[in-house]
Amino acid sequence: MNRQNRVRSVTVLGGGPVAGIAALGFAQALPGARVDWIMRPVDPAALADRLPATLPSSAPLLERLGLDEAELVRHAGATHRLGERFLGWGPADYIASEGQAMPLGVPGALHHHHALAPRHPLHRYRPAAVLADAGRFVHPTAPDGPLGFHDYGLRLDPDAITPFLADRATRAGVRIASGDGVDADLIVDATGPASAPDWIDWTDALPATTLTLAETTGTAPDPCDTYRATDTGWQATWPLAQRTLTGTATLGTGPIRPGRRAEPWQGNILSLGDAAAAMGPLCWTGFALALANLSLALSLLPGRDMPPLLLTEYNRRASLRADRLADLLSAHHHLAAHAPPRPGLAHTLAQFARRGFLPHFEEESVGAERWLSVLAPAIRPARPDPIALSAHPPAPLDRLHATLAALPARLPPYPDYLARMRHA
Amino acid sequence: MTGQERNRVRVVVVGGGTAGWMTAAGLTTLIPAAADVHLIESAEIGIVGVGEATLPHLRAFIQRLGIDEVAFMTATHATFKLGIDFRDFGRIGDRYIHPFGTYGQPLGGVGFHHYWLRRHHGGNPTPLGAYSAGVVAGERARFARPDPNSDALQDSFGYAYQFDATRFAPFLRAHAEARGCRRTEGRVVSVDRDEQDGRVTAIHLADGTRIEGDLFIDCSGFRALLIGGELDEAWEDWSHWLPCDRAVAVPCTHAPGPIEPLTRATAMPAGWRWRIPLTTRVGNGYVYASRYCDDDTARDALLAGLEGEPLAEPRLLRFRAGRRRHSWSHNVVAVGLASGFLEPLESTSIYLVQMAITALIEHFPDARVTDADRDGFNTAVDAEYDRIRDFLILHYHATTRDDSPFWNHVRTMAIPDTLADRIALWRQTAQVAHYSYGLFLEPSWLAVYLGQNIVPDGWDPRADGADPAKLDQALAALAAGIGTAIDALPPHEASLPR
Repeated sequence: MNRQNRVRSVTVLGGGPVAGIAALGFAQALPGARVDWIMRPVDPAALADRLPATLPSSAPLLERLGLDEAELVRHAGATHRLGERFLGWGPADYIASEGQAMPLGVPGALHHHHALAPRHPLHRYRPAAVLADAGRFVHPTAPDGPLGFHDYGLRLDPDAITPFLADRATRAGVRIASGDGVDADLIVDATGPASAPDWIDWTDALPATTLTLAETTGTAPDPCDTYRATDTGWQATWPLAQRTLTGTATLGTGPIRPGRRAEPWQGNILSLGDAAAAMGPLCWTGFALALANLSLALSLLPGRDMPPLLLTEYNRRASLRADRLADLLSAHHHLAAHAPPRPGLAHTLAQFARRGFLPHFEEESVGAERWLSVLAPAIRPARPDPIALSAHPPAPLDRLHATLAALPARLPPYPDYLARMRHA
Repeated sequence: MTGQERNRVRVVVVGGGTAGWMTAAGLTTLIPAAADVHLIESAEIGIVGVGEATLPHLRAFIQRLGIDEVAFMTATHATFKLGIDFRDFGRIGDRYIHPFGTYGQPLGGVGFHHYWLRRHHGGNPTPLGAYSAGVVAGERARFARPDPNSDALQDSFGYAYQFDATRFAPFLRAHAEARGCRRTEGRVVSVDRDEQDGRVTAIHLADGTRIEGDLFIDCSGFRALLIGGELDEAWEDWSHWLPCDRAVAVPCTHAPGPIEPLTRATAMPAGWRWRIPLTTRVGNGYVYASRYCDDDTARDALLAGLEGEPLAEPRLLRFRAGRRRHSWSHNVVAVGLASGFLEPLESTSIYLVQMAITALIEHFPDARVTDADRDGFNTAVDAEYDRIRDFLILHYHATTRDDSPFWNHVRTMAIPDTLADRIALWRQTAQVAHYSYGLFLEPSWLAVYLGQNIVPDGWDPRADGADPAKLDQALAALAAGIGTAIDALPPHEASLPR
């Protein structure tokens, strides 16, 4: 007999897409269970619900939840995020993106070769950044040519995604109600940030604590977000499908409290989204983190008794993941002289400053390219990479630059590409 | 000299053997513009040469060096290795293979082994190994190089080599010398140090030669001339967890029958014995704890268990389990036995050399070594040693054997907390604590836990939903599919270089 008995009932509390994917995910993972989604108004500080985006690493879970990208584009206002432009955030403006560098035909990583002969900014040598900067997006094709190496996330329209998920959840058998919670074997708290006794504060390193949102209609969607540094913080432009959101962030003390719980899963209560880790507004990472944590919860799914060792393993991995993502955001702020670095980031910086080396961390949410996007423009390694130095002939960087520079002109502007997807 | 050559780091490798020549070959091939390599070895000092089974990572290393697999296998008398056949560890009479590869496929987001556990508790007698192409291929002595781009069952395993390590070093020496490595024969008798910062500036050989360098790689084996003898770097001793401190080794002729693509590890009264088949002979050894067995008894037991005729006098080796607190100290980097030692129960010795070389290249200094170089290297190397240590301790501790003082000791000893926590999680929930970097991912832990009878009584309850008869049918179909796919492969020996 299995000493673990299955969970028979799940109650999900919350009003935004974090609660929505949790309800959908648990309903699918536990076909016989009763899943109740108790809607609550979305907390204004619940940025994972209000600014939802996915990362390339979110793709497997979206697929597992049956959330097809084309449907998200058509019915949840999804747009493709290929790059994030940072202006005034350090010694050089840069574009952050994900994917792989194109093969150079010689040993050694692109950023090491680039550091030996930096004729143009590094993002001019990376397909994702070049396309994003030129307002172009196409889906990656077979990995032969320059269109095979970029990776992207999805921005979800905050107004459209929750009704979309509610519809999906209902079809998966979830009962949606409002009011008081229903008692259950497992309770998922996706209600947004609340003071918790085990809260670890991050505002020293992630200082954007006030955010004002505005929107403009009649604008065109774009695959690149922009973050422009200001005297008091930054101003962001997020060009969605039907409108452009702008965010004005102020650094210092404010209502947004970046940080995380030490133990997001305690007993039969699992916290997700801002209730577990408040990432702040930069780069819209909170929803992607919630997706990753939901995926972890579904793979470690405990029995009804919630064995403490299993919750400890969940908390260990969830904490590592949140910390590492916070390290990435800390990199943006620290290299812009907004804040001191988090400890994990300090270690990464020391290794990168020495030799352009990225030390391994468990539970990374982004690929190496995303890290290199923000570190390489600000830090020139003290020691040139010996593999790159030994490459013979030298890496064909000029040819790569020219190939990528010619790429956008061959592709449709993003609004056209998106329109075709929406109306297909 | 060109400007680049003037700026190269002068690397002095002290010691030949596998560690020294892997390091020389790696540096001269991969970073010739940054490293000027000079290797010092003494013909007088015997090479240990017992590291004869390897892990799949070695394939990547030789590929990275541009070495042709067939040439390498021919030179080293290598056979293919699909895993390790463990006998008598959990109980006398028990047997399991730890393969390179996975078991089954996840279903509905739930790992395969949860389904297997459910049916195992429900009376299905089929062992987990039936669902691993690597295990079945090993048992049936079949092999063809798997296609990494294929999802087919016959491509779902990895492989490594079983080879004569004493031939590997000369093979790599030719490779390294062709790429500019200088070699001097001689014995190090003394070391010059900088008075202010303590770094090594030069070594002196017995014939009076003085050799300067910027970076010194200590590949001098257990003698650890530089890291131990000169720098006196602390050694972390693990003999309380891994008491084996001797090995007696002897090659023998093949018995009639197919050459197995498996290393065999058979538990013995005071340790375990290895059997590693090469093309030309079989390597054998009894790894034992001298506290529980004297040398004569061990030698007799080794010879009594040979399947063929001995081809040499048995050789005795002494070692101790543990590692340097810091493998990189000042400008001395220990690689191989000078850095640490773990018995070859899971064929990790050459892997540890290889990963140290990789870490060295990742943290390769310029003429001045910085804390970042040392810290980055040491962090990576220490984590690998500690992880392997815990995995090896599991092989001993997961036993019900009580038939000798050795087994009573390992069965009842206190184990590291890191390992105890993992085992507890496994017993209760059938989950393997996760990491993504380094050796021994989930399938390896499954192999040893279940092979040595640590069977959880709790597993993912989602595996309980499927109809049991249908599940048994699906399991049987998978096992049959694997069997058919493997039987279609040629025999192992057909793939060996002639």
